[in-house]
Amino acid sequence: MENLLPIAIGILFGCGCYLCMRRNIVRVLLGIMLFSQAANLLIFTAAGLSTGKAPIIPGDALTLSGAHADPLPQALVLTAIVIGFAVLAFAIALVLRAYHKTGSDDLDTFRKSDQ
Amino acid sequence: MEPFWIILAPLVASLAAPGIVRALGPGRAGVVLAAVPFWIAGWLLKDAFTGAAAAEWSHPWLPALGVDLALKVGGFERLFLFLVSFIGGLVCIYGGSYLSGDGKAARFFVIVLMFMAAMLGVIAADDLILTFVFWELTSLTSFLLVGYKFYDMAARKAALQALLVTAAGGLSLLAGLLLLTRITGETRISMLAAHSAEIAASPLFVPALLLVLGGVFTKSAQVPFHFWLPGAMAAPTPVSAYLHSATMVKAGVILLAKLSPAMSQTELWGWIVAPVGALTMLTGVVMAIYQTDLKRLLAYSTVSVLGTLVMLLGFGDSFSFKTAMFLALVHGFYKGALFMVAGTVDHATGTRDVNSLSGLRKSMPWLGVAAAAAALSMSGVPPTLGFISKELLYEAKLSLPFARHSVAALGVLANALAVAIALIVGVRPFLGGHGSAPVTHKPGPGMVLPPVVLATLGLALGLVPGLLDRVLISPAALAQGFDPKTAKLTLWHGFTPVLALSVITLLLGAAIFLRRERFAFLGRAVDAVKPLTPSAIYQSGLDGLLRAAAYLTDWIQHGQLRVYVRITLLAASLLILLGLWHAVGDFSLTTMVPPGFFETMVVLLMSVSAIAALVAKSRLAAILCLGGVGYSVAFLFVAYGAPDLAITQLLVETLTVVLFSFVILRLPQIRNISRRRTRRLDGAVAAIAGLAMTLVVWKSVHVRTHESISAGIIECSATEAYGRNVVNVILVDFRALDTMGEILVLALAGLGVTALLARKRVLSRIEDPLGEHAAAGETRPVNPHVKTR
Repeated sequence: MENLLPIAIGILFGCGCYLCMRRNIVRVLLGIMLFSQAANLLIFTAAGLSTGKAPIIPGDALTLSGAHADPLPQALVLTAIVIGFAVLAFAIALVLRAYHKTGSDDLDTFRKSDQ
Repeated sequence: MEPFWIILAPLVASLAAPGIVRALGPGRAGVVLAAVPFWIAGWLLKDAFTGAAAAEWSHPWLPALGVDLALKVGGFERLFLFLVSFIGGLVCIYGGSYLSGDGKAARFFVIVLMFMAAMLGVIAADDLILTFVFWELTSLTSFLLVGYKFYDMAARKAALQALLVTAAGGLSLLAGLLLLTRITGETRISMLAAHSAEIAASPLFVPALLLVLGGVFTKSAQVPFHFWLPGAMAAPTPVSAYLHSATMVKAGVILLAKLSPAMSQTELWGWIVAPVGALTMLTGVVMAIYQTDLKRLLAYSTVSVLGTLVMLLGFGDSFSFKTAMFLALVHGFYKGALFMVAGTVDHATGTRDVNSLSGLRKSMPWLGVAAAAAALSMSGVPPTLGFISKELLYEAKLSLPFARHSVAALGVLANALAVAIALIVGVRPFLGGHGSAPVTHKPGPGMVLPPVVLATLGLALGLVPGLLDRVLISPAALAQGFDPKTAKLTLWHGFTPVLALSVITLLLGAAIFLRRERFAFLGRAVDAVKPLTPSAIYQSGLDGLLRAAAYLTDWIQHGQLRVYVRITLLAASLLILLGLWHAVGDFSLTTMVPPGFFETMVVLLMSVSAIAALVAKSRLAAILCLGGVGYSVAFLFVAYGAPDLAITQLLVETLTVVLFSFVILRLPQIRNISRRRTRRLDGAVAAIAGLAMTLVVWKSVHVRTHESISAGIIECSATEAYGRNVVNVILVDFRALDTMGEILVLALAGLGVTALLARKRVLSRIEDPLGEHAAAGETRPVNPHVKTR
């Protein structure tokens, strides 16, 4: 899996890059989404994969025992997911508003819209 | 009294000037403010008469670099300080009267007095760095004064030109001075002479000399940097009289004289300085003779005199040095007077064109006397100071070790042309019948008295040259280590070849004056080679620089975000790949976690969804792709022990898909806009970026330099934070502040989304592009596409 996931992350990231360079605003939105998925997976993978249990301490113990996943990167990714969502929601709203203002889905026609 | 008052007093006067001008008006304010420079001049003269020892003062400024605020007022400094402060006083009186109709005369006084302080600083400073600081201040104040009529495009252009030329020279000078301190480890100018052998032997000597001369030649308007000086005539005439004839342009000469004890004892000095000076001497008068504007005539003849001074210093012997000191003083007197005369004539008649001026002696007799006396001094007619200085000049040339006859012949030619110029400026406008330009403003005493004083001094001191010699000139030469006894300042040297040359010069000059119309061909000749003149080269260089800057800005700052992204991605990816290349040996393919069937399928689904998103044209397909990637990621979280992440991911993904569907259906179908070539290029860049990312992750999962720091957190989670889900404990306890920030971001994004979407009519407007239901009073973009899609 350590050889498979990097390829998948690379594909997500590459697709995100390509989409972010498009003139069509919807494609740019899709690119941002792929970016944030790739970033989350990157953090998750970089800490090392583990098929072990979730880092939840059983009711009868004071600490974790045996193989378990590292909780810290999970906490980081959790934050990243939520922030990514916030950014995305804002971007989606912005795109809608921009489309309403300019009547165009072509980013190049936006250049004159702030004058 | 301490020497620093010389610099401080004009600065204080400069600060007080606006108040004084407001209270008394410019004319009287000029007289009051003139008291300050006159006081300085008087003090210097008193010290000169009593033969007081050199006054020194210093205060640590940058002790770590050995740079002090060091001032020295010795014999040499006294001569030039006197010249600057004395003429400065007269210029204050003259300028006040000249600008009395100008509502902004206070500005003139403020800057002129600041300039005076800076100029006195250049002369008195005994520290190389301090000299440079004052030097630059004179350039800056000169810029402000040339651009005094800032509403005039030509004045602004001339000011910028003067600043660019002199400031570029200033940079060169700074580099040269720093090299000098590097060679000697000394920043005191008065200590440099002791190191002269060391300087001459140093390999850094040649660059240091060339750089210093770059500063000197630009400031003192030597060929090929002379062109800024006639341009600087856009300044009001009092400024031209002060800065651009009597004082600032002599700063280069002064510095040359200050450094000559340390640097002139080399062959290179003579081979560079003297020829440049000689060339400038000739160029100045040749350019002057065909001019018709009084100020331009004077400006070019000033260029010529500056060339003569530089040439004399280039000769490097005691006789020439003393002659240069004398000529600098004499020139200040007669040229200052002539400039003031030109200004008064301009002020009175409204023109400076020599061809439309004549018969002014009837309306302005005193001015005519001053003009004639100054012109006689400039021509070198006995018994003026100019006669004595010209005799010395010829003697200096004739005592050269080589080429003395040709140098003397060139000198005769230059001086003869100078005689003609003096007659054109100082005599011609006052003779003859009434000219075509009548006197409309009769000049007040403030505009007549200063030139009369200067011109009279030029005459009167010619009768007692020994006094001047003893008090100012000889001490100046002596202070710089030159023997003052070699040259004697007397009116009568006997029947010598020098006297013959003087007579020839006067006769030739008179002949040129009478045939001056013949020299118009020089103007046509200069026009013919216009693209090759230094000023044209300067202009095209400046234009080229601006064009190149505009082109470069357009090229780099084109404003296309996509291109910035492309370049950034490409550069970053290539750098990452380069870095990984060196670590390629460490790549390992071993896996700790073997890929299961379901996991592999999920990764495949995710990748296919992402790739499908690239080409999706239908909005529904885009939503599907998005969901495919998001839910696959959630599944991976489940598979690798992160149930919290999976729950959050599922929730967020669902929300995203809902929001996205809600919005995307209000947008048109996705279409290709960029050209095929662009898409291919972007595809290649994206592929490289993806490859770099893959390799980085690949490497990072196999490298572990530290153990996870989670152990301590897990230890405390249940016992101290009383939570069993460690991820949750981290979020709400260990990194609680972080989480609060996250909530804040979410709240702000929510506010933003609300602000963007919850405007009442946003959504309805898009669904209803013709705007039948839109409220009146708000303009609506007309867009045919919305309706058709």
